[in-house]
Amino acid sequence: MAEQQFVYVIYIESTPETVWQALTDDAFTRRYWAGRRIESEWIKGADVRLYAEDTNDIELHGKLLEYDAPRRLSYTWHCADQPTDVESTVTFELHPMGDSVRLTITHEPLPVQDTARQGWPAILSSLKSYLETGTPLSATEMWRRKVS
Amino acid sequence: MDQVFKALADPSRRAILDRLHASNGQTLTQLCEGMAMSRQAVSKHLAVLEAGNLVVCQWRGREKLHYVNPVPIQDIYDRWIGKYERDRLRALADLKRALEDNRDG
Repeated sequence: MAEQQFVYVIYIESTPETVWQALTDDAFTRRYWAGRRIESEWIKGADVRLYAEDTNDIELHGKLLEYDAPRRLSYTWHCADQPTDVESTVTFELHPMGDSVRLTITHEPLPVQDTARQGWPAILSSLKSYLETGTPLSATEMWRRKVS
Repeated sequence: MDQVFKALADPSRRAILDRLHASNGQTLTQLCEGMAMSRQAVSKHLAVLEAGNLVVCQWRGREKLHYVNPVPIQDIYDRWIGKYERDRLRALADLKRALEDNRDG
């Protein structure tokens, strides 16, 4: 099973509270996550949805499993256009390290299509760039065209 | 970024990354199988890869599993490859792969 899991780690010069907000607030996600808006009531068991930028289509939906701000966030993950995929779980862990936050993302099992495997590093780089410099990366702009 | 390039500047360490890329989440013992290196040498290389954040570890029970972390390579890509070059570079890489696959087949 382990090889179906992916672990990504990034260090961001920020506070756990800010990174947490970036993961859970749609005003942030639409900046660095290729225009996508995340929405949830953030209560255990509540729906978590990720909306496409222009169409308002639900691209991803899942249930909130853990919400331990600003330490650990976990939700299930279904791609709306991949109904045959097994349900997967994405978990974000935040650890303060001096002036930075070590953000660990595990995704298991990773969805079959390559987009998620290639997508996470780009989204994380964009998040880091957005929080550290105020500007998201152009990497996700290209990704926006490909996906939508 | 120095530590990333230091970690990548060694064929044995690149071989370890290749093995994790092919099969992610391996223990030290699994990684040592079929490698012409001592366990100590693999362990040392892993420490350099971890210092460069190219490999991350997770404990699963008593097993320490190693995962390839492509995020620093994404940072390199973002730094030197421009927004409008990406599609052209992708096309070139696809062309190279298609031609070389044909040659091998």
